[in-house]
Amino acid sequence: MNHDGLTKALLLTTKSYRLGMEAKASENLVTVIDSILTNLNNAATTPSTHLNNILAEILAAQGRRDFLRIADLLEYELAPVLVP
Amino acid sequence: MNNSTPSLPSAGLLKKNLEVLDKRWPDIYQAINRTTKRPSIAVSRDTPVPTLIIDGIHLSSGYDRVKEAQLQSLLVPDKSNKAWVYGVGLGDLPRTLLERNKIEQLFVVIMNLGLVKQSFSSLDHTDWLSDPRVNLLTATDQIDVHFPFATTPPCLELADNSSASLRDLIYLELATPSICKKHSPDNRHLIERLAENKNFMQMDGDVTSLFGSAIGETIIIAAAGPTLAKHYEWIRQQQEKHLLIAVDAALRPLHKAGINPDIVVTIDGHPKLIYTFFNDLDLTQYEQRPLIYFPIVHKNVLNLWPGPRFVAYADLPLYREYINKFPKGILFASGGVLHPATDLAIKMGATKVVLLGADYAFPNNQTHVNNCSIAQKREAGLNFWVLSGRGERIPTAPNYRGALRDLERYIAYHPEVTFINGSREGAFIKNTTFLEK
Repeated sequence: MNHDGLTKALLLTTKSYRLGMEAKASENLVTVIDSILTNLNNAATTPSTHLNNILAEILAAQGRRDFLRIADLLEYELAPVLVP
Repeated sequence: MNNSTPSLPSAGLLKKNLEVLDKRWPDIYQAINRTTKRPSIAVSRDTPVPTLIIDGIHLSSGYDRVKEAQLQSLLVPDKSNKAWVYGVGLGDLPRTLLERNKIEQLFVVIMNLGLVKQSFSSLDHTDWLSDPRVNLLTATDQIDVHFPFATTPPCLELADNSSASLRDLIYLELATPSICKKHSPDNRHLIERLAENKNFMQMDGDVTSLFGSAIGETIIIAAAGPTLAKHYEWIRQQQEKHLLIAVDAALRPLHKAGINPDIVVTIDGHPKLIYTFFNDLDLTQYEQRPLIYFPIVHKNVLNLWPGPRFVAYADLPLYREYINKFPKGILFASGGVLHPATDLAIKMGATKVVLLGADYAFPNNQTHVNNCSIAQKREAGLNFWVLSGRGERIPTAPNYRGALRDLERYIAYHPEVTFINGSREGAFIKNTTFLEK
């Protein structure tokens, strides 16, 4: 997935979480994270500590079903790192 | 828009908010005053905009609450003069909707009294609470979801026991577009399956030929929940008197217990999973027993069945083309095989339906009854829960919650039928009584 596609997917995921459409949001989140990992692999790049921390925090928020926090992390933390 | 900053709880703020409630909604005022269960609360300090965190869940964005509430409010069309808001949160969503001049009535439903008490202790809500267009309600009296609505998602997650049913119905409505997409007429796998099964649809019987064949009778339905095993002896005693319909996943456990259901229902399009419900059984004893199926079931499953097969459709666009080509009866289905099994029993004419193993949950952290090919132990945890027949929270899965609520809606449409739930250990099912053995 290119940057445009990833940004679009991120926004869609964020929106779904904020609206309470959790099933759709969680499905999209898997696509987003898979895509990030694939892009990193393809670029043979090691994820930065900052990116790792954000991803870890997203997973922790998902574990406690803290959906608006996930949305914030995607929109305001992850998106700027991925699409500077 | 009032977008005040939450502070740590203060008695002054709570008093100020409750004064409005006392004047306008004295019953809710008293209910909040009586609430002793106060969830843990914190104010986030590591985000640009402080927000409340209750039981580890953020009640709003920590970056832009106004933008978030505006997005959430988009679920209510601009032209609406009436709207429902599920969950108070920090008050941002009701405020945003009240900015619309078109809105004449705004119904705000509290999903957790303790949470609202905490929010009232930390923020000034008097502006929207005082708006004459607002009607504040508790979830307890809400039987179903009203439209158009918008929601504050954390309030659904933090719903209290009395709001659990409404919470599930709201989630179900929010998930409906995704669910419909899975069963849409452009789902390639399902289209292929239907094309493969044309001959079956043409040759096999029509489920309507069974309709009206058990008028006034009691029909037992076996689902594959863990509690089914507790009823084997009772089923053996009853089977001479009453018809036994089994859902596909319950066939193997019943068969291993020496019980042969009279009718089996299977509807799922999963190519391999459903096969495991049938493939290792000696099915010769079913040569006279009907299999009722939706034609998305894999042909390998259909070919295993030695008895008569009857086609049924769900009322979905996916089947429209085939309903015209090969007309057969329709059975209700909305997220689980127990739905069409129950609808079949009613359309056969049953006036009493006994639901066994209809747990819609994981009693003792077990997913299915023993000997079901997909039964497994799951990790303890209450990420998703429903109330059991004993009124306790028990673990479940989101799709089970949705299917349970759709079954309850179905039952509510059939007051002429007595529905009996076999166990208090599984999910409480509204409008059922419990089986007295």
